[in-house]
Amino acid sequence: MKKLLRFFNEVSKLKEAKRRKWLANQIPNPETTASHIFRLAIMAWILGKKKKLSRKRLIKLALVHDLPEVYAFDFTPYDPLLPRNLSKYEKVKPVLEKWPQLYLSQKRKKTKAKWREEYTGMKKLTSYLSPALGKEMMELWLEFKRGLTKEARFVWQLDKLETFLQAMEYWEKYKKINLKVWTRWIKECLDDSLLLEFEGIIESKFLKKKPVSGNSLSSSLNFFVKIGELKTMVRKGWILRGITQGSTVSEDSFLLAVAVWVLGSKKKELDLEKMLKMSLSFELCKVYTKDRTPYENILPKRKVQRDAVLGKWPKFTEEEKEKRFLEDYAAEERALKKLLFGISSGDKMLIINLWDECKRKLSKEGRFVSQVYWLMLFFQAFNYWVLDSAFPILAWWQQMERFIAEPLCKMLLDILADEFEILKFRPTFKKRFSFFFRRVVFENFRKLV
Amino acid sequence: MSQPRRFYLTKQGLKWVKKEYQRLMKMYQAQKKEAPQFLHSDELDAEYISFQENEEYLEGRLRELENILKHASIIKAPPKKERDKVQLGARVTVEVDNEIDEFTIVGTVEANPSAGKISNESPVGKAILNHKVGDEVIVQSPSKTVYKIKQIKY
Repeated sequence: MKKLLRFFNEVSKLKEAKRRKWLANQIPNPETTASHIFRLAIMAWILGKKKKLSRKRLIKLALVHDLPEVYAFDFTPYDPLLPRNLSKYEKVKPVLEKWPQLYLSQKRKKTKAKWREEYTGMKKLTSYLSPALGKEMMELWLEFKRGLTKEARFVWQLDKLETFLQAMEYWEKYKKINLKVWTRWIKECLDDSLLLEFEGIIESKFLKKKPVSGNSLSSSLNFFVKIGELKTMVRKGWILRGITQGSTVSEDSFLLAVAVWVLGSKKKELDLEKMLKMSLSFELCKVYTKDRTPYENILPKRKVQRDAVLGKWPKFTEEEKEKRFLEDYAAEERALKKLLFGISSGDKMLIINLWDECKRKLSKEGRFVSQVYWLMLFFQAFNYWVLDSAFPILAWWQQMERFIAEPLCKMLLDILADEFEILKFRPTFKKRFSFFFRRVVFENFRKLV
Repeated sequence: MSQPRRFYLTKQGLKWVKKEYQRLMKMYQAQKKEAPQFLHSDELDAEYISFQENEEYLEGRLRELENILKHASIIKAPPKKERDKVQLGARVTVEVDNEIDEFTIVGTVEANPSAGKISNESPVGKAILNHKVGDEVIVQSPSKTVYKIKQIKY
């Protein structure tokens, strides 16, 4: 079980991994690899339906495709022309102004180097899982890389298309992207008829400013653009506790989906495909409701008083809890309906039902996902406490002891409890270096050098 | 009835698909040997279900590879008199915006632009197919990229 926590800790590094192509382009607060995977998984789910491909496999392929980046270098089309250290912009800028001109031999060499790094990374990462699950993830990743199935080829091209969509969004917002290079690049990457049509719709929306209407693909595009907002939506709970660069809703949804897959694989009586979709869509409503915390409307303005309130989990009477839940429920339902406007009625109904099942814990899958959701949020909070002792972790502990009842989640919580007992009296700097699944500072340092 | 889709592969690509097929088949057979006994008649055995799922997954992938191998067409260099045109398997050098770039035109299975392999069904692949050295080809997009073919090799 300790290995499982180590796995989650390693994968959660992707929540902090800002994508190198955007850093090179000087995009402020760019998306992370975790956020990219989140939107890709949803795009694979929604667009894969139109191709009649296995949705479960598409989502799994999307979730594993960039996992090796926990350890491997994040190659961009401009590598190896770009300096590894991007801080010297005067060296980066001239490279980005032109198409990354590489000879075939250089391209092959780069592909080999990327493969080697990623293969080693994936081997290391899957070693923290049970042999069966580790093998499954490794095989899926190989399937993606080799592109020998319809699903793998589809996700491979969609991966490029999601990146292209992000590039268009950044271009519209910051005008820092070299448009000509990107529109040329995407035309070399795609050959799937549906994705080519979708790419045309993206160009019409962003470049010709003529959105295609009355087309189901254009409604899907509007939906994907809206959920892209979750990539930068930092959880309010972290901001209130002084963590301004905390994890975003999309990053947490990505980790939730991975955790549900890993933990759910031990629960054969549960429908994994349903749970994966549930984890990806559970927080979509936040596009409109924004992230809310149990402290809504009860936090005092003065910092001292506010910190005192945050030190405890808020307590409400049963009537108040009921009222707050119903208010939340109605707001989220409205938000989801607004967000899903124009999406096919089948997908719309499915997403609303999945959210409802999880929100009201109406099914065994809904109850399981809800438990893993709280466990992973707590896991993130625990990490923040390791980094800063001032983080009010006790309030979280008190609440988790009430929330977490599912045996598997409870076991993981117990391991964290043991760790908490060891670490709680240690000063912060000692905690960081003794925490058994700490962030590997030196590993990142080595990469930079 | 529609014709089954053909998969264009280079010799190397075909070898690679066959190798992958053999690797998966070996894995599949090894797993068959390790199959757990399904003795509990009434309740679902988690290990057995997991085994079945894995078996189905491998069977699906093997079927897909069999389909590729069944409908594979080897990319051969065209006859000498036709080698002045871009066809499947051609190594093409192009000039775009005063910069030189090179890539090989392959079938969809082997396509990987960052490794210099462009699908014949991609907009760029489609646009330059059957063109000759000196031709200028426009790939439609808002910026209308012009590919000038400088060299074709087989």
